[in-house]
Amino acid sequence: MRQLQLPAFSFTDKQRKFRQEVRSFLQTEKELGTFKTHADSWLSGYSSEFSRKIGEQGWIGITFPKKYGGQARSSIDRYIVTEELLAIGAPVAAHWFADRQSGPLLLKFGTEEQKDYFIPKIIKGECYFSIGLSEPNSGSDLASLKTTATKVDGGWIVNGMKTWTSGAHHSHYMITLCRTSPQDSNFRHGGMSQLIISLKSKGVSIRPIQYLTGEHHFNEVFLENVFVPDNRVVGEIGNGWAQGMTELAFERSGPERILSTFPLLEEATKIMVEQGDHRGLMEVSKLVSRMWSLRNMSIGIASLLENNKDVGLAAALVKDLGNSFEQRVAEVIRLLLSTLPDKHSTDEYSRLLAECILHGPGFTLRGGTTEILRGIVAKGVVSV
Amino acid sequence: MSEMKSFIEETTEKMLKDLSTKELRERFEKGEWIKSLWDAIQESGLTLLGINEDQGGVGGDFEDIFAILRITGKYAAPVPLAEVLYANHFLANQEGEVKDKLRVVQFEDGSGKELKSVPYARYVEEVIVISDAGYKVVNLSRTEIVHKENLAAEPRDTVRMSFQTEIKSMDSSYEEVLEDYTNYLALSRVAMMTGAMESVLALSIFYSKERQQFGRALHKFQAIQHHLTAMAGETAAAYATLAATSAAYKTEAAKEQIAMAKIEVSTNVNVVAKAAHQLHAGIGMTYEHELHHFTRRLWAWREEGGNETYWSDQLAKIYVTRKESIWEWITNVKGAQAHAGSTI
Repeated sequence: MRQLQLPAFSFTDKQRKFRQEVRSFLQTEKELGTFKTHADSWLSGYSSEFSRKIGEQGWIGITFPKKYGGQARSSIDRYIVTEELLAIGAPVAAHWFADRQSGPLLLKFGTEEQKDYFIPKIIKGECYFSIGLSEPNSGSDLASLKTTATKVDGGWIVNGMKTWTSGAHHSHYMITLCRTSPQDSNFRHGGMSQLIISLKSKGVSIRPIQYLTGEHHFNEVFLENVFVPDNRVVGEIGNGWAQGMTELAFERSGPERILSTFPLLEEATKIMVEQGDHRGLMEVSKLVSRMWSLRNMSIGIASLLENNKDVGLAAALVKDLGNSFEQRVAEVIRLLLSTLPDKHSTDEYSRLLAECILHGPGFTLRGGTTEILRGIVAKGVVSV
Repeated sequence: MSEMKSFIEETTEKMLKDLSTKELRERFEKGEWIKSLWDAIQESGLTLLGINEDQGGVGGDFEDIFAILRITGKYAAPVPLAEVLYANHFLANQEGEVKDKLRVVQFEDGSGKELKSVPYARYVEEVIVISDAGYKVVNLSRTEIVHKENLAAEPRDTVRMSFQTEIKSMDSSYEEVLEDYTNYLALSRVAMMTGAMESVLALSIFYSKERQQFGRALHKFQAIQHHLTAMAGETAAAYATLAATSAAYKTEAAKEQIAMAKIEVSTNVNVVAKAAHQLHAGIGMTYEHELHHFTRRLWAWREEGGNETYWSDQLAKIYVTRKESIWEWITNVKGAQAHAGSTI
């Protein structure tokens, strides 16, 4: 089955040199105290100061065209930056969705005015986006969403509610998937559109949903008669579902589906090496083997995406396997180095272990639950 | 990767699809050497793959070899191609030239009289016995062979030698050759397991579409979809792992990558086998159904060339002595360590 056959990819010397450059920068910043290593830092690590620094380096929107201030570099270079940021657990949540999804979406479907307006700000690490998809009654069954946009003179009036919106309390904009034609059971994925809603607009109210630790990452976003001008519609009216799906392969197969708990694995390994814990390191080697194997898949996909190949099926697999791996790291490590996990501990290991355990439930839910992904894969393989 | 890789992959796939059938494998298990299959493999030059033409070979490289071995696993071909290839390579390296023969290598365990687990000994012409002293080529027509087999009924015989054979010196140490063979055997089995996983998945997909229960095809049930995804995931992971490791086979990173590949694919053998048997239910545990030709091979091959315990022991030793962090090694970029504890 060709779709399951991902090629080997090796980084060039130039790419390895670039990785070195990114890593040195991050290490220096960390030593200066700019940030502290956290597990799952793409959800939990918010720092607009840090995002601006990364922007100054040219590492946000690194693949974006030069005419908007980007570097027009390859998606492999973006892969390298992303990996290094996650491996060191840097606070990347602020610019995360703009870099990964919203920027590429606007470049692909946006108007020239939208690109001119948003892209340079995204690249500087000054303009943050949230993604408005899930609703209280539309989770895995996203196509049943109810938020509506009604045409008025010069724009649209949006009413409805979004939930699980990561970072909405910090973000400037939300790309909102909403219904612009009535629901049609014969054409479930039709009639939806993507609107850029300024989160400062009149009629927008944001209420925190506390994560099970009490941390504030997610939000409910209420939209009451929010006016969105015509020039803030992304792409075509009615084409929102298809547009939103185009970036999914990037989203599902990226390093963030494998590395959310990597800082714990690295820290635990360091301690076991110091202690000469041979049995512990044997177990570590099995985790490392798994990570390496998933990374081979993920990079194989990245190299195919660079050539515009369809890799949706393999991408869904990487997310499913990667998320299970992320959870397993904490479950294996906790028995190798016993401690009381404590998210407030000054001991790095204890703190990271607590973060990995407590953030675990979200890994297999966000961006498509395990159950949904497995349905996609099963449909894909039986249809070949 | 040599330019001919996709060509020989295609022709081998065609050949084995026609020749390595269920009926033929059943005959093999009843004690018949499938000469027609072996002759076809020899005639196509596969037994001399990766050996230079001036040494009597047909050219190509190790990436080609592992690509072909994946296909032999996919068709569960009852032949010792991996072992014969190594033996031919060994002789070509030692003697500068090789003539194709049905031969395998085995390492002496100390007694000098008995060799255990010799692949296909009852069918091969000669065994190259490697010891501290060097190597000797033992003709098997004059030895006593006790039939033994692995879980997949592939011969792993005991050979008793009662005569002296000339010992020739090697240009590498015993330890070096043993390590080289172990690495090769491990990656061979990774390749073959990858192929076998592909077939297990294909059989499962076919059955999930064909079999109906509660008025629906099996694949419509979410519980079955989980099984299909588990198999597809591990098959894709094995393929990507094989691709990466074959490409690195002759590099410095080879040993560690082979170790990881063998750990990974061996570990996931039972994810695949278990899901497939659960999905096939009763029919899959009969001798009549083909599924066990692949699942038994998966269970056999995960033990050969070092299992997960063997290789994780090797890796743990490397971790203790290596100065690099996991991340530096994985990315093959040295420098500032990415782990949390390295800061002030």
